[in-house]
Formats: sequence, C-alpha cells, structure tokens
Amino acid sequence: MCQITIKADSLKKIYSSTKALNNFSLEVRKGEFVALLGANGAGKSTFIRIALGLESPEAPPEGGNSEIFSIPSISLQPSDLQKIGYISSDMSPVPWAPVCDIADFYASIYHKWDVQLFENYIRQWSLLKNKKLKDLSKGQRRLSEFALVLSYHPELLILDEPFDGLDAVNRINLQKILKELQKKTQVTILYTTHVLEEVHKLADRLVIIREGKKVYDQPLKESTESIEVIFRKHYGMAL
Amino acid sequence: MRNKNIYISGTFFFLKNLWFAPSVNFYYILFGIVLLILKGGQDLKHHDILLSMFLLCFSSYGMGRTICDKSGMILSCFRMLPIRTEHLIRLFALSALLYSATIQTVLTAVLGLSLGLPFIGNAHITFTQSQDGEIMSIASGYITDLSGRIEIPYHKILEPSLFFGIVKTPAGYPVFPFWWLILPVLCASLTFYFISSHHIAPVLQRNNHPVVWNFILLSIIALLITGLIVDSFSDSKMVWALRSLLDIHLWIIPALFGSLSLLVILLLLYYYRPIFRGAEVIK
Repeated sequence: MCQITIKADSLKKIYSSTKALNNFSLEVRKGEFVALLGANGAGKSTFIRIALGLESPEAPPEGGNSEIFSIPSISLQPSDLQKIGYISSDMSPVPWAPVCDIADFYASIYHKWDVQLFENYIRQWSLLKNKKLKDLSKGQRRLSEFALVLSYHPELLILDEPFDGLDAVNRINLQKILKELQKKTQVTILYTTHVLEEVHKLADRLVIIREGKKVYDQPLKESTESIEVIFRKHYGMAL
Repeated sequence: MRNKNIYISGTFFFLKNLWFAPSVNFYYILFGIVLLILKGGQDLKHHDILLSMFLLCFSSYGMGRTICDKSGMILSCFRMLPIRTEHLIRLFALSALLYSATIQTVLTAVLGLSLGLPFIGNAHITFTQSQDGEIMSIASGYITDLSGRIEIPYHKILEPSLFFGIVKTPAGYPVFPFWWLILPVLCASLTFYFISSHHIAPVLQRNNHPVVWNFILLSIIALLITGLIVDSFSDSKMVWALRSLLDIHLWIIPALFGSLSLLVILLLLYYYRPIFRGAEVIK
C-alpha cells in the first residue's frame, strides 16, 4: 500500500468574504511529484500554508483536516520538520544573514545536513555564500534557498512557485536536479505554479485549483490532452 | 517645554514603531539632537534619569524585526525550522538584548537621560500563544515615554508568574524567564546613571552651547561606533554565534554581551573625557 505523505480533507478557509479554500481535498503519495496549478489567488499558497501548519483552516469541524506524515499539520514537531523542505515566493530564511552563516546554523539543527552537497551546489551555481541573502539578486537568492533546503535531504519538498525569478539556464538546471532527486531518493514533491509549460516536464500528476476548489486531479501520463487544453477547459476559457 | 518634549517624544516613538527596522536608529539621532537643542542642559531632574533608567531595563529592541511580523506572529521561515519555539525565543531574545544593551543604553543615556529628558527605551517583548497554547512569539509590545503611556498590547508581559519564569506551556515547556533580559541592561544602566549624573550632568548644567555641540559630536561618534559594532553583530554573526545557546548555559551569553556593552560605553567615556573638560574651561 502506498504511503500518504500529505493528506488534506475538505479544507475550508475564508478571508473576509472570499473563500480561499472550499472543501479542498488532496492526497499526495510518497515519491510523487505533484503540480498544483491555478491562477493567482486560486488558493494554492493558502493550501500549502495550511498543510504546513502555518495557518489554520476554519474552525472544526467545518474547516477540515490536514496531515503530513499522518500527523496533524498543526501538531508537527521539530523531528517532523527535519524531513520537510519548504521554499516559498514570499519567504526567505533569515535574509539578514550570509548564506554561509545560515548553512552553519542549519548544520547545527538539521541531523542530515550534508556539507559536501551544500558546497557542491555553491560551486555548481556559482553562489556568493559570503553575501547576505537580502543582498543577492532574486535568482541567486532562490538558488541559495534551494542549496540550503536540498542539503538536509528532506523527504518532502513543498515548493511554492519555486522558479520565480530564475533565468532560463538556472530554471532548467534546477528542474533537472529536482527530477533526478525524485527518481533517486523517492522524495515527495508538491509544487505550485501558474506556468503551464514547465508542468509536463516535471510532474507525475496535475491538480488544478480554481477559486479554492479542486477541479482536476489526474496523473499526467493518463491524460491525452495537453496541459493548456486541460487548464483552459477547467478555467472556462475558450479553446 | 516639557509637554512639547513629550509630544515630540511620542511622535518619534510612533514613527519609530511604524518603521520597525534597524534604520530606526536614525530617529534616535534626530530625536536626540532635537531634544538637546530644546532643553540645552537645563532643568535636569534626577528622578527623570532614574525612572528612565529603570524603564530602560525593560528594553529589548530587535526581537520584533528579527523573528516576528508586525502582527506578532513568528515568521514562517522560523516556524519551519526544526527547533522548539522555546529555543528560538531564547536565541533571539538574547540577540535583542545585546542590541538593546548597547544601542539603547548609549543613546538614551548620552543623548537624553543625562539631560533629564522624557526619553526612554522601549520594549518589543510580548508573548502570544498559538491555538494549542504553545508560546508562539515575542514581539510588538512596547513600554514607552514618560508621558504616562505604558502600553502592553497583548498580555502577561509583567505578570509575576511569567516574570519569574515559572509558567509552563500546556506542552510542558517553561516560558522564557523574562528577567534574563533585564539583568545585564540593569547593570549597564545603573553604571551609566552614576557616570552621567556625577560627571556629565553637572557639566551640562553649568554650560549651555559649547557642551551641547560637543555632546552632539560625542553622541554621533558614539552612535556610529556602537551602531557599527552592534549592527555587525546583531545582523548576522552574533545571532548565529548564539546558536550555541542550544547547548550551553544561558547565563553566559547575557553576561558576556552585557559586559561587552558596558565596556564599550566606558571606553567611549574615557576617550572623550577631554571634550567635557574643554567644556568646563569655556565657561
């Protein structure tokens, strides 16, 4: 039986009068690479934040439940967080510190920190590890975040629009690394995007979210239509 | 004049709290200069200094900008780290202490307190709790000027049980004992109180303009030096050096940095003695 890494059941979240999530359910199995696709404001980031316990859904029982590694998201412990890598468009780990200092700090708190791997990424991407994150370009900053997160060998990677700000070369390199990583280590990856073109290269499964509702959920290999056609259909756009 | 100063004080603190960033120090410079010009060393009141120094003990700036957003919630990047909230709070509370002990002691004492002005430190310390009762953040509270406004927006900051560190969260973790933040600042503050009241204040009372300008000069130099030292520490190295807190006894860090702060202040005073002597001769 497949292990379930992320499980969300009937999640509801309302901001003011807007339903950010409306009975949203999703299961991500171990080793899967799932793309969560949706327009801006569709509820992608809200789902991720709730799944990680960074936000709460509406009060129970209406709000639904979410779990990671079969543990309620709100109760994730440091030992569980050791296994989760999270990269978000609006979140950088300690931007005022140099990358090498953050790496030292991570080395002291992540049991599986791999200094060699981190140094490899630094070299491979020509990162400026002595500079503060906030002083780096957007692309360098994002790559540094990837280097930091990948170096502690997470079992689950949650990436919220992870390729924003990257140039084409780094974007392609990083996508290749993630795909190889998934094959080699069976890491589970859930990532959100609104870029249709990259989905088919990366994901095993496509989930489309619209106005907080899941409107499509299929493995990509079972789909006979292009992602653009699927997306247009479910967003009510002319084909 | 006093009311006027209080309004100015309130305005600057308001702006400062809005800003919520390291550049807030510039408000201290502006504030200090404005107050120096307004008061010019007159009407020194020792009880003002003492009260200010006492309140300064509750000061701890830096934490808010370090780990929390403006609503007082711990930033996502920290909440995703695999360390307990309790450790996180200690880690950054103590980095804030250094910031507070040096910047605020030097600036408030040199610029404001020795002139007997209604100008004191502030505290960005507040405890909020998550749904399951775990301590989630310390931020956004402040205790501010002598106009009587003492605000503690959330709760419990001065509750005796919390103050003495005997509260435990439902998960069984002891709440960070608040007094850890106070002791080194108290030592630095009291020392500076005696220095300023016995050496600086009498000079200021006797001399107006030359001392005012010398004082502005001294203040700017002090600000630059301590600002450089503290910012370089608090921005990165010091914060990360404190990670060892997870392994060593807590008291070492505040004691170390409290002493360092005091040393910086005393060195500054020692090297700039000629300025005050010069001022006395001018009269």
